[in-house]
Amino acid sequence: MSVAASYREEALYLGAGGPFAVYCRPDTPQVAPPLVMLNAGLVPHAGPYRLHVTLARRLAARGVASVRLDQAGKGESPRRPGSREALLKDDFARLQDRLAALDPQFSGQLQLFGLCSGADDALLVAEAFDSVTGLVLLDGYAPADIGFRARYIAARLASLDWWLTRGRRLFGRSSAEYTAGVEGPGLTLRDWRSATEMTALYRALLDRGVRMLALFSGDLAHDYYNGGRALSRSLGAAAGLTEIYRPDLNHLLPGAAQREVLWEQLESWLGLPVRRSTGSATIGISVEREATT
Amino acid sequence: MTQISAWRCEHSGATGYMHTPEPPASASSAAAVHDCRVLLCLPPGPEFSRLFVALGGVAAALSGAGCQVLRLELPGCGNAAADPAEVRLAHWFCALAAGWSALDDHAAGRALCRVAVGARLAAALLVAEARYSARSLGGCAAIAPLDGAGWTADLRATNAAMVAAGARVDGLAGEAWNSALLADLQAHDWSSCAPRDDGLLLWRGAANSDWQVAPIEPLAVSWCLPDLPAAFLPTVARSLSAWAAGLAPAR
Repeated sequence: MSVAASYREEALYLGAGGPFAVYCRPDTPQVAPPLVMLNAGLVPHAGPYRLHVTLARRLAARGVASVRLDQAGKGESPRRPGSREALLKDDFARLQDRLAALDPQFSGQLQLFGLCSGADDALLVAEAFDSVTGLVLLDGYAPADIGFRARYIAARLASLDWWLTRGRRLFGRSSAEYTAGVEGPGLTLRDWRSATEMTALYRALLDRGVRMLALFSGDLAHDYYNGGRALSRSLGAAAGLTEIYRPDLNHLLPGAAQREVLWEQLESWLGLPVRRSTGSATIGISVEREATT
Repeated sequence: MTQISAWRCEHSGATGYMHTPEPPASASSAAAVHDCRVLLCLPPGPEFSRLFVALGGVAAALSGAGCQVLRLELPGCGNAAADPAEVRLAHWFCALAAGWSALDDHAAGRALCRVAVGARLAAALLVAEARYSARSLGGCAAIAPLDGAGWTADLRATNAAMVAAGARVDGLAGEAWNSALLADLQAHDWSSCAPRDDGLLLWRGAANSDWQVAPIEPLAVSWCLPDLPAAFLPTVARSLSAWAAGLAPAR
């Protein structure tokens, strides 16, 4: 087993009682602003199935630094008093200050990467900090548009499994349940603002020049997103937004093949010269790709 | 107030968090606790994330009681080097040996008491490594221990549940654990290392003759349980702190 690497990782304790982070940077010149990976739900900074660790090291090999951040009260970071939003902003401000002191290559710009509630947090940070120039949102917010229910029903009707086992559910759910998404009781990690406010937030960030990669998995198909470029269409002209629906992906991206899909999208979005990996598994499921740039 | 610092072993690829207690004010009864060096190994696999915060709390409790604690991440886990696809059982043993070595460095030549704390497979690994290295342990706490065969079976069961729920998994329970490692774990003789039981198992002495069993709440934990540390910590941390305080340095 070789532990030699083309990256350096430094554990950062950001002030007394402050958050913990791991800064992973390449030994080569950095080709893009560092990517800050926020907690996916309550999963510690290594990420679900160690997604953040593998991604960070792969990015470093391509000249992109990254930070695996444990937000206040999550993973290695102790709890501190304060609202979630205030703590999040404080965590990020501390991180920026430390990177500026630590890394002469740090330009002051950062990009954010968030899965699930991490995507929601990324939007909040981007709103508050002009230094954020890019967002990678995995299963982030999207409005349950008018086509959602039609696509949902069509998918159910086309499913033999549904006809055999779950058909009754189609007519047993109210329209409110179709659009309630994860705002329902018991899943309070997602505390979105109203649809109007969320759309305005996206709009404002895009107008500011923030680039976004919004990747949606198939696990949202029962909740609030099932393709149809719902996010792009809700925003009208959406220059700077790349919206991709991959129904073959699961929410937490278990396994190498699903991560390879993410990697290829990220590689393309970051503008890194494409290097096709060899020998990786692929998922043999048809894919709807939607991109607006 | 204890200090926490990141720890890394370049040779083994292991990483971790070193909890250093405040030095004792005087050579009082607290000195015995300060002679305890605790290697707390985080479990590999899905339980790593589930128990990360809880075991961080256990380490903090032990450190608060005066023990030097290294919370260790095995290769292929957490921030450690290597991927699950390339790690072998020997790498894990090497990482544990490196952890003990780092703790010994903190002893500054004093007689000390080595205490192993592990959950699930990590508990069995700690005991197996100690036996393999003929390392004298003053005590060991095995939290719901599981041997290699049991861990592999658990991974397969978890994987089957994920597939049944519609996940498209190409690894084993979300990670690419390699077949050679699984074969290592199956082939290793765990018979004297990890009685399969849900509970907190403590013992003292190399002879392993006087098991003390202190049951704790079942580790029926799952993703996204905000109250996990609160539900899990008090019993385990109290038990371990009281237990560690009673350990005597090995000679």
